[in-house]
Parts: sequence; structure tokens; C-alpha cells
Amino acid sequence: MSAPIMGLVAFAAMLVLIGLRVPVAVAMGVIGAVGGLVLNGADSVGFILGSSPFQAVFPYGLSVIPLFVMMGVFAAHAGLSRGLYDAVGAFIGHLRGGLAMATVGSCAAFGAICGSSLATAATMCRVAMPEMRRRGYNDSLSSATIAAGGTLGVLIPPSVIAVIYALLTEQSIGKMFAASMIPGVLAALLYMAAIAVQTRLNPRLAPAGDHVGWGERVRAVLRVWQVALLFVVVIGGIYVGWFSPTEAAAIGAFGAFALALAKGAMNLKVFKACLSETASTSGMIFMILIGTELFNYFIETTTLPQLLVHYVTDLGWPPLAMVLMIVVFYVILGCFMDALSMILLTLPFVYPLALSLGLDPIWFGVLIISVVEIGLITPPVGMNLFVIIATSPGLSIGTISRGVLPFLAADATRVALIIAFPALSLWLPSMIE
Amino acid sequence: MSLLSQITRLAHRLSRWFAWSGVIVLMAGVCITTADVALRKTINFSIPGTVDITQLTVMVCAFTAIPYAFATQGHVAVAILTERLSSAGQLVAQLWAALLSAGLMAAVTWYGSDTALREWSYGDMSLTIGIPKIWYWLPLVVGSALSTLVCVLAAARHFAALFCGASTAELPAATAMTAE
Repeated sequence: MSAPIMGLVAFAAMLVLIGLRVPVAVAMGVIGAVGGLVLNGADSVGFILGSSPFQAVFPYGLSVIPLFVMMGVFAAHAGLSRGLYDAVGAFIGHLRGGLAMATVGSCAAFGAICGSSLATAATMCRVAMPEMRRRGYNDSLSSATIAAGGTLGVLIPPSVIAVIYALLTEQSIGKMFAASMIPGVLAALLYMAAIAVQTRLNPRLAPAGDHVGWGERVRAVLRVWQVALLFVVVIGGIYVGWFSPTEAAAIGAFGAFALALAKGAMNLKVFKACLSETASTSGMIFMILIGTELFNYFIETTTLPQLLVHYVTDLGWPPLAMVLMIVVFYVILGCFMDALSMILLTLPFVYPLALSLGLDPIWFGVLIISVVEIGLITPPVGMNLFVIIATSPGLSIGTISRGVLPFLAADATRVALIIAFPALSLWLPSMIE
Repeated sequence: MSLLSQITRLAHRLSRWFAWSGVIVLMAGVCITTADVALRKTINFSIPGTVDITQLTVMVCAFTAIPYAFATQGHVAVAILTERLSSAGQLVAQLWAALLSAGLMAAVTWYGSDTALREWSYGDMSLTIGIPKIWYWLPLVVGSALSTLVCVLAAARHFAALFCGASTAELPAATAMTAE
């Protein structure tokens, strides 16, 4: 059996293992190790098993991952979500569907200090879902709004997935953050538009709220000035070159912890919960990175990625057709896999292909992140859907799945705009020296 | 409570304390980095070796967190196919997942220890402030060993449930992870 065929068989075997509920990281690691053993012998695998797990964690650039995770966890427990929700709601809560739009707005604001989609969805769900239910909002609209809003945590910087993409493809983290800023805001606006259209077509979905005076609006905004400060310091600091992404993440984690303390939200029980959550998420991410390192080593020795690139370029399809094919591939894969695993699993094949097509790596990264983000709200394994069901008693998967359809249309529009107008993601990075 | 249950509880508790201490070490790294930036921006003084220290704290945090993620079903897995199986089928899948996890982590422990000992014998040190490299390797070796233990215990529990009819309900599942 030739090496590339062996690579294909190994890839298929890995998908089988994942289908059998083997953790994605373990499936990648085991296939990488066994494949390496067959292809390169015991000595080579021994060396890789002895060095890859270290190399998957040790590089200084990777330090940013647990630090942003920690920042998000402290932010989620600092009680900031209520203030953000009230502040955005004060401005648009009086509109029909305004509370749902406020949910999207506050998810975007929360995503600006929390790089995790699940944390954003779970945190905002605790605040927004009871409030929308109390005001007579339709459950399907409410739950789907939070699920879709939660995905903004992945796109709006700081995003853990954007960091991982940047590190794996040796791109600037600062440029990735800058590139995803406008698409992130665009996503929030399109979600709000989706809500506006739905409530216009069916006013029973969401009643209009009470008008709030300017005095109350100003007070609501002033209550969350710390969130804006934290975002400006962390992202602005990277953007203008005050400090490195790792330093920015450390300052962000420190700031979020200080905020939680200042708001009186931090006691021993909450602190232990923060420790557990940070450990669990960081452990999961680093284990996937270790599995990826082992798998990538093997798959590169099979020369399968290069062969795939040659095959696809020989087809002679125009780059746009290839991009659309990649998008469709990720949307389908997103129905069954989580965003991080999807990116790590496919990047060794897809990234060289993108380079061979002459695509901009930063633009491609934003596109990929935008597309895998869709997988967070597509059944049957849309993780945001399950987070919301778990925190909202009486909510069924059918109810929330029906509600996400208009948001999927908004996502499709956004992806189309990013493809049609690359400047949406490339203009801000071009301003960074 | 059976001996297996008691040992599993102990291992899970150990992994929790281990993970918590790892995150606290990372928090110490956060404080040092923040202080370094603040001092650099205000009085143009840099704390020596901040990069070395940050890398060490991240190594500690990562490898103390991995066994905890195994113990708390934190590792991402796709349950969409296996949840359609009978309970015996699901136990087989969980046993299989736990065995593969244990095998991989045992191999990482074995070969990692080997490399760590070699680095120790060479007397390798970090670039800036000369922290012995063995300190970076220790969390890897200990964390991988603890992960192996957690996964072996999970496999034993699933095996007992499958072939001896023992209940798995009295303990949190260690390797029955789901995508949700």
C-alpha cells in the first residue's frame, strides 16, 4: 500500500473511531501513532510520542490559549452579562423583538471579552432566556437568538479558535483579531435583521417593550464601562503594538478577575468553579493540540496533503468554485463535529490547498471560522443548542432547531459577503504594521 | 462501595486538586506578566525571564488540566451514533474509548519520561533565566501518568459494568465523553 493511500485509510479509520465516541484528540493521537508505526517504524514513533506532546504545549505563542480561556471564565462569572444586557436593552428593548436584538448585541459585547462561544451562550442564556419568557417572547425565537448570538464569541476577538488558526498557520494573532472584527459586527447586525424580519412577518413572536428614557440609558451604559475598558486595553493593546498577544491575554485575565472581585461576584465557591472550568477547557484544547501534532506528523509523512493539492489544482476549477466547495464541506462537517476539532482535523489538507489557490491566509482564516461557527447552531450536534437546552427547562431540540433557520440564512448572507468583499476582513489588518 | 469505586473517587479527587493547583500556578504567571508589562510601561523595568516563567506555568496548567478533563468528560467526543446503541453497545463503545485513551496516555508517559530523563542528563536549561528543563517536563510526565490512571479506572468500571453487571451510576463517568 502506498503512503498516500495509507494516509487516506488512516483518515477514514480516524473518522470511524470518532464515530465510536472515542474522544477526537485520542482518535487523532492513536491514528497518528499507529500510522507512524506502520509507515516509519518504532524508533520514529517513540521519538514523536516522546517529543510531540511537549512541543504541542511548550511554544510561547500557545500561552495565549489558557490565558484567554481564563479571561472568558472570569468574565462569565463576574456578573457582567446582566449589565450588558440591560445596557443594550435600554436602547433597543422597546422595538418589536427588541429584547432578542438586545440579546444579540449583548452577546457581541460579551464575546468581546470572552473568546468562547459556549461560555457566551451559557452566560447570556441565564440572563436573557428568563427575561424574554417573562415578556411573552416565543421560546423558539428566544432560544435560537441566544444560540446564534453565542456564536459571536468565536468570531469577535479575542477568539480562541482564531488564535489557534493563527498559530497553526503561522499568521499574526493581532491581524487575525483585526480581520474578524468587521465580520463579527456584521454577523451581529445580520442576526438583528433576521429578528426584525421575523417579528415583522409574525408580530406574535415578540411583543414590543417599554421605552426607556435617555437618563436611564446613560446610567445603564455607565454601569458597564469596565467591559469596554477591558476590551479596548486587550484588543487595542495588541492592535497598536503595546504588548504581545500573550501579554494582552494575561492582562485580560487579570482584569477580568479584578472585575469579578470588584463586583463582589467572587467567593470561594465561584473561584473553585472558575478553576474547574478553566482547567477543563484548557485540558480539552491542549489534548486536541497534542492529538493534532501526532496526527499531522503522520499525515505529512504520507504526502497525502500535497497529493490532494495537486489533484485538486489539476481539476482546473476557478478559485471561487474551490472556495464554495470548501465552505459546503465545512457546513456539512459542522453538522457532526465541533468547531475546534473540525479546524484542527482539516487544516493540514485545506490550508495548503488555499495557499495553492493564492488565497489570502488571513481572509481564509476568517472565512473558515465564520463557516465552522455555523456548525455550533446546526443540529444534530450544534453545541450551542445543547448548552441552551441544558439551561432552559422545558425547551426541546425541535423548538430551538426550528428557530435557528432564519439565523442560518443570516449566516449564509454573511459568508457570501465575506467571499464577495474580502476587504471586509482585510481592511483592518492592512492598517497594522 | 466497591474498592474500584473508592479508587476511582480518589483518582478523580486527585485530578481535581491537581487541576486546581495548575490553574493557580497559571494565575501566578498572569500576575508576573501583568506586573512585567506595567513596570515596563511605567518605569522601563522588565522582570527577567517572564517568557520562561509563562511557558512553565502554561506547561503546568496544561498537563494538570488534561487528567481532569478525562475525569470530567471534558474531552470532545461525538456521541451521535453510539447513543442509538443498546446500553450494552454503549458500554462497549465507552470501554473501547477508555482503553484507547489509556493506551495513548501510557505511551505518552513512557516515551515522555524517556525524553525527560535524557534532557535531565544533558542538564538543559531555559533560555533566559536558566530554569532546568526538567521542570517543564515534570508536569507532562506526571499529568500523563495520572491521565492513564483515570482512563484505566474508567475502562475497569465499564468492563465491570459490561461483564459483571456492576453499576456505573454511583460514579461520574471518566471517559464516557460526549460532544454536548
